[in-house]
Amino acid sequence: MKLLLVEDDPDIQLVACLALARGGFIVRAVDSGEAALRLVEADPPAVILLDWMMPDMEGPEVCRRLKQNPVTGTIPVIFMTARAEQAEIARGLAVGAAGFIRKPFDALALGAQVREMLGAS
Amino acid sequence: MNAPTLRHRVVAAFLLLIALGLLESALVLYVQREEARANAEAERTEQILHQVDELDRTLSTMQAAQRGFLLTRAQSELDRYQLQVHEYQRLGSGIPRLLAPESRAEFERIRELIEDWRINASEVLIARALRAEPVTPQAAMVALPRFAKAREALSAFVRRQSELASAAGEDATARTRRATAVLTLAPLAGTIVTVILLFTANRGIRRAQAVATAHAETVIARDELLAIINTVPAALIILNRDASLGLCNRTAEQMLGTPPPGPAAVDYWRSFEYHDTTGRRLALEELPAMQAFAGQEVLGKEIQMQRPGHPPITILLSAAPLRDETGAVTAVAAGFLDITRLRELDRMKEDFVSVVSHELRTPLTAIRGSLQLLLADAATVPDPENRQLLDIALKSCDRLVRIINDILDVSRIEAGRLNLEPRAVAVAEIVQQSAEAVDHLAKQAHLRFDVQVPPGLPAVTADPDRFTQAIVNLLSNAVKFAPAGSTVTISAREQSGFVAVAVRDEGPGIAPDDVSRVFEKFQQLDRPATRRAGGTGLGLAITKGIVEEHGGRVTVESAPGKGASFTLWMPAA
Repeated sequence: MKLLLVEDDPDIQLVACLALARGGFIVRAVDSGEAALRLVEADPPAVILLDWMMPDMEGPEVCRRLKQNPVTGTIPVIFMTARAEQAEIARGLAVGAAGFIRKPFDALALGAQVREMLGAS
Repeated sequence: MNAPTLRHRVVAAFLLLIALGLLESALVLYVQREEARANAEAERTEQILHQVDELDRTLSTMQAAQRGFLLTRAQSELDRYQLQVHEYQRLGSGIPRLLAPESRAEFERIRELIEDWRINASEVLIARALRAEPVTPQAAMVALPRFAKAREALSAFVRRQSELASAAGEDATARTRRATAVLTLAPLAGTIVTVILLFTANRGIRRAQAVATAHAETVIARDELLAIINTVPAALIILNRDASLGLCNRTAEQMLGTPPPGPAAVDYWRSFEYHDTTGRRLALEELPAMQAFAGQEVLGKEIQMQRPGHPPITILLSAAPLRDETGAVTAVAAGFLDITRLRELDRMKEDFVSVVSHELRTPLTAIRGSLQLLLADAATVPDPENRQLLDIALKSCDRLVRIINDILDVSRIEAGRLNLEPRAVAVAEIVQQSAEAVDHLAKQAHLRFDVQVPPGLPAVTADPDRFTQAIVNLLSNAVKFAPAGSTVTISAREQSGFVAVAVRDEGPGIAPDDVSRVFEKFQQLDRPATRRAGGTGLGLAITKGIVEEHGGRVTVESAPGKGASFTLWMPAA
């Protein structure tokens, strides 16, 4: 199952990649929302794991654009954030998020968590 | 009826004294005059009696001389008679001058009687002298009764004069006695009245002095109070019914400015903007002070207030109605604090905690993920010692994450921003989930959970996640302190509108002095069995905050060596 990871912090990106690979995903990682938007149409993944706080474009904005595009609109987006408070959750759900994974995540259970959310959505 | 004033009493006492003095002087004069008069009268009476006596004697001598001459025709007898006639005439004309007018007429009648006798006697004498013949006894006999009659009248006169004199004397004595009695009694009575008046006046003076002292003390106390009121850094006002200010201390003046006196103040207050804590605009009528006018006491209401041309301020306000003797609310006393800076600091602290905790999470994510992946395969780190070190790093990392989460929760509780999403939840379910969440910890510590939730418990209105968190905190707390092999009991029951969830351990218990401190932040009490502690020191504080935010409370029962029992009281739905 192809997964696109959008994470600007290289360390977390690497850890998440390894964890997801252990979980059986084919992972492609980018470090910005713009890169994700460019890539996603050419090579649509089965699921997108999206960081919330990124310097150039925030996660919710990336999600909103993905959802606007009919080609990418159906791809489930899961937010990965250190800030999963009620306000953020509400905002994330409003732009069409399929779920939230709170940082710090459980590296050994990350894949299973994503799969669970996909099953639920 | 008004009691006579002190001044009236004193004036009355002095007037009475003056009147008494005058009365006494008048009485003394009167008594002196009476005595003088009585003395003069007595003297006069004595003189009268003496002269009348002399007259009587003269008459007797005259008669004796007359008779002597008649019998002897001796010239000496005639001379004696003549001499006595002169004496008689002197007395006869002198006495009436001494007599009182009413007695004078009587005396004149006596004199006429005497004159009758004397003329007769003189005629007899002349006849004898001329005729040189003895007087017939008849002629002499004629004179005798007249003389007797005159003498009798004279002695009657003397008696009457004596009587009159003694009557007058008695009269004078009686008057003097009465006057003397008055003279003695009046000052006595006057003195008594004056003493009473002055005594009551003295009491009045003492009372007046006490009143004056009390008044002076009141004035001092009032000045002190006003000075205190003016120096407290809290705003204090008394708001009259017409919205004008009855009292406004310096701090209040700085915050509110100076409203115009009288009902015009209403417009002044209307020019302010008021908002509640949620940001809703409040009309003047909705302000807490107005509730106080309706008779309600208002405690610790927080509102935002903006005076025209000034920055908005947040105030914490309390207000109480002031009533007159009929119980009607006449004014409102209000006190408020400018907590703008405090609220700003709260927000800053909250923001700081929030930012810091989120910033910490990013590196923690990397560390924790790396450690987990490293430890995932035994082949990656085959050396047991190295594995153990990595394991320690991972556990510490987990603990750090928990601490960050707890700090965030505490910060939310303190800011009142738990944002609960309450709904009716089944207690049995929540207890079960909580026990499952801590199950692995219990197993590590070789503990057994004994869940005793009776069927048919009412649901509670609670945010399920937070309710679970509250119970999990109690369970992890119990797990930390319960000795290996013991049982942690989770029970639930219903009691007076509350559902009580109790977590009891068989640990070392809490010293009585420490019981009140267990819910304080970062209070890991010095319990002997802290071997598995390693908590954040915030769990119980968070539990208390969560439960109280739900309208419930947490209680704890414990004694050293007897374990501890924490109970959550959640309002039944």
